[in-house]
Amino acid sequence: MSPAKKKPDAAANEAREVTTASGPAESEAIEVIPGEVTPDAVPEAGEVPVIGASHAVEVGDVVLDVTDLNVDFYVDGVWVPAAIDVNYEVKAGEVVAIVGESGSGKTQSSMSIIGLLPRNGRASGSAKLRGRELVGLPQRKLTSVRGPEVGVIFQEPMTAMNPVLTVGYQIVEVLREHTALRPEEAKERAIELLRLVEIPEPERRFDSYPHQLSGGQRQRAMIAQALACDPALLFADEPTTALDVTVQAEILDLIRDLKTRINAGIVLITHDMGVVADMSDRIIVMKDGRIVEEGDSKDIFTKPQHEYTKALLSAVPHLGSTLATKDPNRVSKNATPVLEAKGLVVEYPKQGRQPAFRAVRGIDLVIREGEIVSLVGESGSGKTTVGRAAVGLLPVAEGELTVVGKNMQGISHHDLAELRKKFSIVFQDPGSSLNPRWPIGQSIAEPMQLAGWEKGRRVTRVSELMDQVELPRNFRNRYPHELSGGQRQRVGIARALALEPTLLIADEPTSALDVSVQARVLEIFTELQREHGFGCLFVSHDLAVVEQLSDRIAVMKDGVIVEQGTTAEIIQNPKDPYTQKLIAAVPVPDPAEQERRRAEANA
Amino acid sequence: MTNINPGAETAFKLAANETQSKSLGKIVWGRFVRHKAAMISAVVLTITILVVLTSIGVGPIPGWWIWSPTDIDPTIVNNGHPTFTWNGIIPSFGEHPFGQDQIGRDVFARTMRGGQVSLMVMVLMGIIATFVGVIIGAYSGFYRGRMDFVLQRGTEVVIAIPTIVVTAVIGHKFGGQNPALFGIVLGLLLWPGLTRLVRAEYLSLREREFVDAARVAGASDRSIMFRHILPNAMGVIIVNATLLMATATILEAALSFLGFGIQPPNVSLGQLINEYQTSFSTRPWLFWWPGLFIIIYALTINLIGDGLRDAFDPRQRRIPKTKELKQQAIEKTETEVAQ
Amino acid sequence: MLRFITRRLITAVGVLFAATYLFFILAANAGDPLADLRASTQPNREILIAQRTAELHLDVNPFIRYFYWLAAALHGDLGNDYKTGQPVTTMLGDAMGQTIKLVGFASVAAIVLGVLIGIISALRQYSGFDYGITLMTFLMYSLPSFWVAVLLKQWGAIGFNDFLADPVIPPLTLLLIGIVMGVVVGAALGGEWKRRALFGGIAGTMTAAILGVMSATGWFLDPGLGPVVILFLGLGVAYVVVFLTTGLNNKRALYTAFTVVALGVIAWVPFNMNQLSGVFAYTGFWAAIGLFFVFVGAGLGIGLLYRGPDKWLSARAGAIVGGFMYAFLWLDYLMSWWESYSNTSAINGRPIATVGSSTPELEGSGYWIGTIDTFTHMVLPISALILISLAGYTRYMRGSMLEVMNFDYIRTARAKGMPERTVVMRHGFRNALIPIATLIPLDLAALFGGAIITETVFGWNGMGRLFVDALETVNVNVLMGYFLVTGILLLIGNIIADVLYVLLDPRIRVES
Repeated sequence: MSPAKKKPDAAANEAREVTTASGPAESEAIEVIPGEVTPDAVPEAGEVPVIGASHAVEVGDVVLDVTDLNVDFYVDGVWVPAAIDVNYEVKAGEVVAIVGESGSGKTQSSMSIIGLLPRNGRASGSAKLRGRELVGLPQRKLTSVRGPEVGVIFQEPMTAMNPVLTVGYQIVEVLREHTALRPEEAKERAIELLRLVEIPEPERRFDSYPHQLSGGQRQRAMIAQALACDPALLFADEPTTALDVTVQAEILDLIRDLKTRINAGIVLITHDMGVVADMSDRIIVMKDGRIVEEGDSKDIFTKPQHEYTKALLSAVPHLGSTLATKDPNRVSKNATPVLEAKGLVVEYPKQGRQPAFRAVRGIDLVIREGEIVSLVGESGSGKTTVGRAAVGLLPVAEGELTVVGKNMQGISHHDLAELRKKFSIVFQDPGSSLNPRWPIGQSIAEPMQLAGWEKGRRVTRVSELMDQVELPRNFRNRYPHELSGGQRQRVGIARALALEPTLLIADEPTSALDVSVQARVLEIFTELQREHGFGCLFVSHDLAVVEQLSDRIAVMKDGVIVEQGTTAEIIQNPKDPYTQKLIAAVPVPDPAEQERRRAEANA
Repeated sequence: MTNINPGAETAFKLAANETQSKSLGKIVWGRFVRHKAAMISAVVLTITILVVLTSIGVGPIPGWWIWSPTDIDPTIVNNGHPTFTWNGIIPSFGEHPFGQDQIGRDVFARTMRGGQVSLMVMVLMGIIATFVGVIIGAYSGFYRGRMDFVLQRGTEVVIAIPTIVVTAVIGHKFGGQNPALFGIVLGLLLWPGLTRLVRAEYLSLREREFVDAARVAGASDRSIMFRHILPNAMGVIIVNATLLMATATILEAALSFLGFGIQPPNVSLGQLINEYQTSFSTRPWLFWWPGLFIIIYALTINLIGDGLRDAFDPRQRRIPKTKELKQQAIEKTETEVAQ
Repeated sequence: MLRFITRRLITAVGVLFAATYLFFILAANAGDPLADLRASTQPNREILIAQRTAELHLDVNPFIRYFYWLAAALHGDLGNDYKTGQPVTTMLGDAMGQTIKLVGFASVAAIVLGVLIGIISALRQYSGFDYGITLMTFLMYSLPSFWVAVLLKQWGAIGFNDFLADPVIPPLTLLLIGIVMGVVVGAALGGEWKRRALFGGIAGTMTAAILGVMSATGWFLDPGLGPVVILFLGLGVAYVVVFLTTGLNNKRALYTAFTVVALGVIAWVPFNMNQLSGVFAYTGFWAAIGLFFVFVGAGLGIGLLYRGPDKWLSARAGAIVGGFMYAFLWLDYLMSWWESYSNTSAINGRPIATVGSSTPELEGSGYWIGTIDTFTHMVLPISALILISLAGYTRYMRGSMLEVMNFDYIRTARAKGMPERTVVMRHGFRNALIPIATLIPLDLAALFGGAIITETVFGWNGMGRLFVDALETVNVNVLMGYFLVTGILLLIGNIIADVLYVLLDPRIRVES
């Protein structure tokens, strides 16, 4: 954690006690609408002004009480259950994490509480917010609940904000809707909120449009917006999933900090156990619409009871857990290099009026036969670009890039065609890396077909490959949309192995998959690599995943490699400050460990 | 790492012995069939086309209708009024169900001929416009940059030329207007409408990863454009081609009406209306029937196009009306209570 | 931005060159300009042929002839119509005036109605209303305009004129109209069916009642609104405007609107005094426009006078209501002239015209009679135009709105607790409008080329008619002039559309 962010924890606690203990309104700079919660004292700088429902609760009060909640969706003539018999409680000042994979019902059950289900959804059961029943409440009444009583933070800040309105305006409109603040006052308050969520230059940012902010800043603005009217309950639906690891760490810091300063209960919905370990007091595990286990955070992590919870936990990669098994001499130092880059520079060509963009600004990298080298970095670091240059999708602008013995710079058409049989690539998004109109058998066979293999040979080979990735053979006539994400990714791997490549580029192959699926896919991948012995460039942003299968790691930032070495070296003794920051930012799914790291960082 | 139960994967339960697969084409068809208006239109259109084609025959093949479009019936039946009556149960057609014109020709036969010609023009136009539009849109969207710029400017020039002038020129040069030529010319002039959409599709589809995957596997540009991307753009193409054909029907009628389209002795629906517009007060039926057929063509094709659009749109969900939902809820509780 | 526009202009000029060249070649080959002379039996036929050939440079190959035209055009001389000798520029001016009248009104009406219906349809997706509207728009889309035009002539004009001879609506028709109205209003509203039935019933009964009263009192022969009706209409408008813009909770805006309505009703008295009508007779059009701005300005001012934190919102509401009040007053006064118009010998009790843009005998009868005359001539062609345009705009708006309402930020707006009205208007509508707004300049530009069919059927001498006539006689100068104007309009329309896009959508910034 960055040492610069020292929070005055003690001071904040004190201030909070003062505000909760004091009675209603002092100075009335703010008008009161009849029926609204009476505002409290004029806030001091840096403190969250209390004018909403969170004023009326004390730490430990039950804010949300969910009993026998059921959510169904009407699809193609039948009611399909999304959440079944959900029961839980949220108290003020605590963070309850709802963990589950896609389809577990975690999001839908939460959305149903505040009435944000799509038209074909319905909810039954009970959900009481501070004693007030929300299920079945007509939309008109719900609009006065959302905002002052409940706030929501969504996953994708880019699409979740209106692109044609300024950030400041979107916060002000919430304030003007639910309170009697005058426009100037609302603006002041909005700027204060922006400052609270640590957006630099809040006065200027007030007039910015969402697309002018970075991903992290947008999420902060969303948080400011959700907190504007001081709600008693906050839903955070995968708030950091769309963000880079370091930005994620900052946002989590922010939320944790806010937790100590406001009285709200927070429901954190996520699939990432690392985030959960860092933030939550209590955990609820959901699978297929039901709660399978719940309890204290520490208990769940150390003594999980249910099968699924155990499975989920063991599927999460722990940073540092596999270092012991690493054999630095697994691949001989004298093995032939399959990829060599010296001072490699790659540019995205000039597109219309946009100037050429130098994504890779001079890197040195060697990958030997049979070795897995991982390229780690955040978005914009250039790691994906390296992968694409290696397979010829992008030209070499400067420097040297030798792939399987051939110089990629200025390579002739004919040579490239020959070379194509020796390398291949697995893409990140299984949904879009397979042609939706082609049966998967055809997709797998395409490289062979382009290499001139005749039909019989292709058919046999496709069957072989499908066996290797453990897909049933008769799937060959199915279409991608009929397969799950993990199955599709396995198809991608099968396709990449079709011509027995010497070099395989894996571009974030598991980032779009659920945790348990990811574990399976990585397992298969590792086995195959050991068996076939190809050299592999594994591109990823997830250090924990990378640690599991790579022999060496190279860390990239802004187009250059800041550090590289064996896996053990990088993970245990990072030398470059960026690498250290990256490692520190990876959430570890172990609450005790996280606490320790935080204490260290703050010390 | 421990072994994870594969059942933990998201809720996809496909029986291992199922070899039946549902291609996207079949799914689209299934959705299309459920779109009532589109299905009705398809049926109506098919019947209409069958009647139009078979009643007076096409080319050398004879039809089952007594009169031909050029025959003059010397006896004026019923003062030329239509002899089609319906006593509520059984329709009776009579000699001239659509009536006769001033000279005594059978209007039904003429309308059928007009229907055939309009149909041919529409189909020809559709094929050519689609072909040209797709090729230009594909190259424009796929290659971007220079080629896109040039092709787009060219498209603008074609848009700027009013169709009516070109058809006037054709009429003047080739005299009388060969309907087939007319259809081809229309196709060559109306493709810009389709191009823009195809271009947009190609611009977005080319960024998808399967294109990159194909390239890495060694596919050529042409192969990517037409074997990979084209099947994915088919939805947009089909929908807009049908809509374009509906527009063309009306356009052809309008041009013929103004005298710059199909001209006598050739017959088309629009030309018929042109010929008969002055008789509207005395013989309104001359005006009604051709117009009705134009509307049938245009309306059914438009509705089919809309049905196709809904069928191809993956985001469409048939969200039931509140009534239905309530009904379902009641049923559910009833069955629960019964159990 | 400036560089962007300049670049587009330069490209546009290039395209214009290519297009006009192509067009010239086509036009020159579209027929024989000497056809009528060749067929004539006049003794000096040869001389006339030679004259015309020289005038039109018919001896020169069209590929070269273009440059004769171009040279003259660059000097501002577009040649003359060889038939009448009129300079093309004058002809274009006249024709454009006619077309603007027709197309302008029709477009505005089609856009406003289309947007409205499109939004409601999108919000009530899958409801009966939606299906009904969709079906109707498809039907309108599929109608050939000339077919519609002829039908309108029959029923709109002849039928209505016949009706005016004995303007009584039979009670059965009244009932039917009332029921239909009730059903439509009920379907358009949302919410529980009780509320919908109530409002639908009210709407239906009111419509039937009003029509019944109108029928009984012979209103159709001597129409007028009167201060009471204007008051009610004004209040209605005030409510709707405030509801849509600021929400009925904004008291100041509501008071502003009411005040403006009251002032408008009071203004009815001076409006109808004879001295004022004298003023109008002389300055007519400009006085009308001027007064409009006076009313709007007054509305604005009143809103500001009410002060409050959102005084500009009140002002905006006031301005809109002010505009409407003026419209009502103007309409009312206009209607008072109807009877005298109808009874003039030229009209003779059959006011709705089927052909032409004005009644020549009534030239110079003053602003009011002239306006009514223009209206009666415009009703049918504009209805025809609107019918077709409306379908397009409705579908487009519906599609755009549906797409926008599915976006994430709509869900966020709801999650913030914004009332549905705000979600729809401020978040949904504003975003859905962007593609439409960029479509409008293009559409307008295209329409200014003249609605060829409508003008032909209804005998208006607009651009479309000009074009068709010129094509028939192969009047190349006129054709080129026409094409130049429409081509420029189209290209400028394109540029405006692009600029609008940049202005309205902050995500799009032109790299300068």
